[in-house]
Amino acid sequence: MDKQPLLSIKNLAIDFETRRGTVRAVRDVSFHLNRGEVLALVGESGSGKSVTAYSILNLLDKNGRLAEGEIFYNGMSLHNANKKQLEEVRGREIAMIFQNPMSTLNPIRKVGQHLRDMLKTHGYANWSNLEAEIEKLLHQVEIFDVDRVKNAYPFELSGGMCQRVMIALALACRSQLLIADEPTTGLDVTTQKSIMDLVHNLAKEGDLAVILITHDLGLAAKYCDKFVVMEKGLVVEQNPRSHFFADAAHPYTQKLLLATPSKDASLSELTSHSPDYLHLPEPSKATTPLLQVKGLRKTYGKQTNFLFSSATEEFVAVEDSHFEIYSGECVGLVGGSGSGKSTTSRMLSRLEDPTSGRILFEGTDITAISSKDFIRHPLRKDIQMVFQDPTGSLNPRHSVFDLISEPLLRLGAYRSKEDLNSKVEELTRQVGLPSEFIYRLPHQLSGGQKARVGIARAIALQPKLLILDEPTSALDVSVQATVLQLLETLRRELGLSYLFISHDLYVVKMLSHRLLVMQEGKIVEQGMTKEVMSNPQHPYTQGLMAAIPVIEKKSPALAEL
Amino acid sequence: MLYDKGLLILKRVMLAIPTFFGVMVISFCLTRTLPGDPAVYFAGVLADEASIQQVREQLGLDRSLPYQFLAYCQNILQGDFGRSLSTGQDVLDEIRTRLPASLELTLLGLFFALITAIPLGIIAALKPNSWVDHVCRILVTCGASTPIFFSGLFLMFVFYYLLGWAPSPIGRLDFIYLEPLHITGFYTIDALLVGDLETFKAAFSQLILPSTTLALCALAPIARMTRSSMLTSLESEYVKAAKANGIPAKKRVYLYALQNASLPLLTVIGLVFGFLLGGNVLVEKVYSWPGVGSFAIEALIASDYAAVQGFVLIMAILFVSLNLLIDIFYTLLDPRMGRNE
Amino acid sequence: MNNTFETQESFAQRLWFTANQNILSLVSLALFGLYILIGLTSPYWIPFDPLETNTSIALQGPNSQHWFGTDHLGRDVFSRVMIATRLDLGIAVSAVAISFIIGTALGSIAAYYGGWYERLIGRLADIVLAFPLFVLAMGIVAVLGNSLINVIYATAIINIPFYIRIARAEVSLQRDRQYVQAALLSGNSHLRTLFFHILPNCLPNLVVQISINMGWAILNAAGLSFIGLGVRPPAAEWGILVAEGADYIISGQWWLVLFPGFFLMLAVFTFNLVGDTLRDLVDPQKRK
Repeated sequence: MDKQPLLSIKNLAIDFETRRGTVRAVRDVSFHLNRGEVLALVGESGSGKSVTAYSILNLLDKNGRLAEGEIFYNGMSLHNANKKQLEEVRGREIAMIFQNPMSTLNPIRKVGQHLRDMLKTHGYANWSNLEAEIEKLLHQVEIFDVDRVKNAYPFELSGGMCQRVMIALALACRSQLLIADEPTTGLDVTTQKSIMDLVHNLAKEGDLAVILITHDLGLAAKYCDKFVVMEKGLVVEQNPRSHFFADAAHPYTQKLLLATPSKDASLSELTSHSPDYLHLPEPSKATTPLLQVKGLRKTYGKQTNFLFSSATEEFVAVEDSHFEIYSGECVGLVGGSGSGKSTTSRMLSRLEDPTSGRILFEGTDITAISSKDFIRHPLRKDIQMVFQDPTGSLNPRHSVFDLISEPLLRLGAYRSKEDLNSKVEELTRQVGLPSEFIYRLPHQLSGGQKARVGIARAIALQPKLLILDEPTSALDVSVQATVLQLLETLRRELGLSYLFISHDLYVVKMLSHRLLVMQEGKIVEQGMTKEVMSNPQHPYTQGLMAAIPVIEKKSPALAEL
Repeated sequence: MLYDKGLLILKRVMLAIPTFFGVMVISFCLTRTLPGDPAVYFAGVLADEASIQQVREQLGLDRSLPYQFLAYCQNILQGDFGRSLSTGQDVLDEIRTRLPASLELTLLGLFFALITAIPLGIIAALKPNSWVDHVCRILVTCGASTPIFFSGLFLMFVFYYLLGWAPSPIGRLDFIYLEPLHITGFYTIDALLVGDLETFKAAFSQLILPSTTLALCALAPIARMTRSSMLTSLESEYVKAAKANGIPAKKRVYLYALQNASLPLLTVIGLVFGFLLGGNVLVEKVYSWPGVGSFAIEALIASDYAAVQGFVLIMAILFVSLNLLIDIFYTLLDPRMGRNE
Repeated sequence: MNNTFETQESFAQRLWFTANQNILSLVSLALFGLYILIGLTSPYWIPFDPLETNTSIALQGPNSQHWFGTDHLGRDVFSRVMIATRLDLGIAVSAVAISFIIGTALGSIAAYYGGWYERLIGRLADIVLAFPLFVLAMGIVAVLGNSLINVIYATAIINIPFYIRIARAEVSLQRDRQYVQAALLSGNSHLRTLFFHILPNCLPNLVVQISINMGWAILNAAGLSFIGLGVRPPAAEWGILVAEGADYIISGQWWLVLFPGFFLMLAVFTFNLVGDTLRDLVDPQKRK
């Protein structure tokens, strides 16, 4: 093996032309990568990690430009390669896979056609060995029903399958370097694991070099040999795996490491300073349940209307759920996409009517009140919700003040302007928003600030039950850490009860006293958080725990993994 | 898969039935809301009280509305679109003899529009915000803004009056030529079929100006749609991924992007056809073209409502049928149709 | 990555930027103002009575006195073209207003409430669109009676489906966003949520549609009067002016057609470009 790295990047700088002139997105980035190595390019949104990776193959958007620096691949300079040279390198030497595998395949071309295009373009097969070659490639990415997949259109395959096909395309011409841009975002954790295992094996066995662009330090920790951490266009830390966790020197890396949820980290350990809630007492737990869910079930009729016979196919979203929430406690609800957790949250918040079953709130059967009438019901203010998408859940035309005062005006008894003003001010203080922000519009706020507005609005009327529907899944980890701590503070301060819904077991467990695990509409496991985490009973829970990549911070064996 | 597609096509045909029904209802409403007493209109100007009464009974106007509607539908299904008051002829016959003239014009216009607009749209999409794109944008906006009767008159003035290139802009054929043998009713095609090149040339040169006029206004929507759907697919992730995989630019543009962009284009062509059926009326008036449009205008001026309603209904049926055809075509072309629905 | 460098600007700043970036947009905004001005003030400054005939000066070409020439009855074409602005714009504005109000209301109700409302209203739009629209407008005017107000109704009716469709598409896009659920949780009724939370967010795209529709409505009305429907001579209207001049074009009296025709075209052109400009503002990513 030669000592020369496969890829080396020196003092890279990338400029973008914008309306306000030239903006330097990335400065002074240098790193190198050897064959068989997996490099993680880690950073939060806007850190310039994607831009850096895209510049390697000169795939920047039209307004982007490689301003300075050198990129050498296998002795060839890519920074000044012409169009033709680049086309030779793309797909043949260096290949890429992307975030949304479903939309990165041409929707009207079959999988087989994609592979044929690739092989023919780069002259890696002729008509005689074409089909055999395709079969070999699909086998390599662990697709074994070759005939079906070959003749399938991308929309007929699952996201995980599409990503495998993308990897097969990348392997088609024996590329030496694979650039993977958030390849598993949007996929289920179990699919994520299988895809990443595949990539990892290809690297180790096939001597493939991989650049993994990710925001998830846990994922990087599990699969990568080398870490490049970027912040605001700069590389702040660069270390091989053996040193990375022990020697992380830059404060940003430390912050990121701390904020990433892990197996045994507690909520207070997510930030370097100790959070406010520690001195607050745990609210006393009531003995009678605040909320009782009995046999809750929701089905959607999928009408297959053909000619004049219409058959109704039933799709069961939630099946026969039973659980309770006691006042002052936080219950976590975990499940993958399509597990019915969001449907459950919409029924509990009375935005949707269940098909059958009852929801008792403080003993009152609130399923007897239709969702339409519940809007004006006195109990409306007692059940509120924080939404997943901090941007989408704020009306873009309303100011922070309007947003927070809306429930106060509609459901509260705030008539005088002074009362309203002081209440809104109090709320912004509670959620940690500077008071000068109240006249800003949502687009003038950061993701974390938007999340805080959403929380302020939800607690405005002192609800008894607050449903948190993936409140942090759209946020960067460091912001997630502070928002989670804020939620804990508020729960203790105001004595709220939470139903915390998330796909991420390790996030949920930090806040929750009890856990519910949901799969395909059914609650498959419930119990005290500690018990479930230490001794999961149901195979689905066990699978989830195994699939989620985490940093095992406390374990010194990490370096040898 | 073939079975799926077959079912889907059947479904499309079934879905068109309520549309046809709706068209009939509207058309029926149009005939029955005539100002005053319809019987008076249908009986004609010179009718006396007795004959008006007779017409009223004949039309079933003394019966209930649902009954009238059913009778109306029955008539239509039997091909009875009423009788023209001014000529006394069967409306369907009148329109049938004139339809080839209009269709010849419309189809040629659509053809001219397609062969200019699609390349224009592609070029504009390949270089967005370049001068080509801007020129394309101005041309397209001009095309969309020019009243069809104005561009018709303008072309006539320049190419007939000023330059003398075009033949006298009256009718389908100069009077010195004999009408070709009626085979399809399209003069150009009929002349070719009997091998009369002289007549073909004459008929074609009569067609050029009016069909160019039509093409000018059809240009805009087609070029716009080509540009935007090309842009969408060029900026799509699969084209980006193809680039990253080293698929050459030509193949990306013509195979990947154009193939995907051609699907929405198909729908627009249907839309444009309806637009041209309306534009036809104006062009036929400007060029004294003896098609269905001229017939409708004459009927309008003569207050011949039966003829106008027959015209409106037949045009609608033509348009719905064409859109149905395009839907079926689309279903066959788009693999996403028929599965996972 | 996209919004990393996105800086927030006010509406006026963006309008100014768009106009500056594209000279056509600037021109279109200026022309737009000019047309409105002519429409509002033309009766006060036109040089001749648009209806006054004087056969001794019939069919004069453009000259210093009659800038756009005179017609077969000796009427001043310039005055007639200018005075027609008011009528043409009036027709278009009223027709578009009617179809906007009805179409938007129907479309947003269809999208928000779904179910039968959606099926019924969607069907209705589909059926109107099943007609070649100009042909349908002809039929409607023929039936309702050949008058100006009926031309307005006909133009409004054939435009309604477009508003239904666009409002329906916009509302159903917004309806699934979480701020709508948040509004319901805050105690807003469904109707209030629809009109005070969802519709304001759909407005920008609807305004673009209005501008484009204006040009369309003008063309439609002019087309109808060109074939003798709606506005009756001797009233001055662009379509009629062109129709009156059409007989003289093959004998070379081009000014009768050119001036009103060009003025009509420019008006539609202006509205289309203003629509484009507004669209650039609303959604700079997607100029189509």
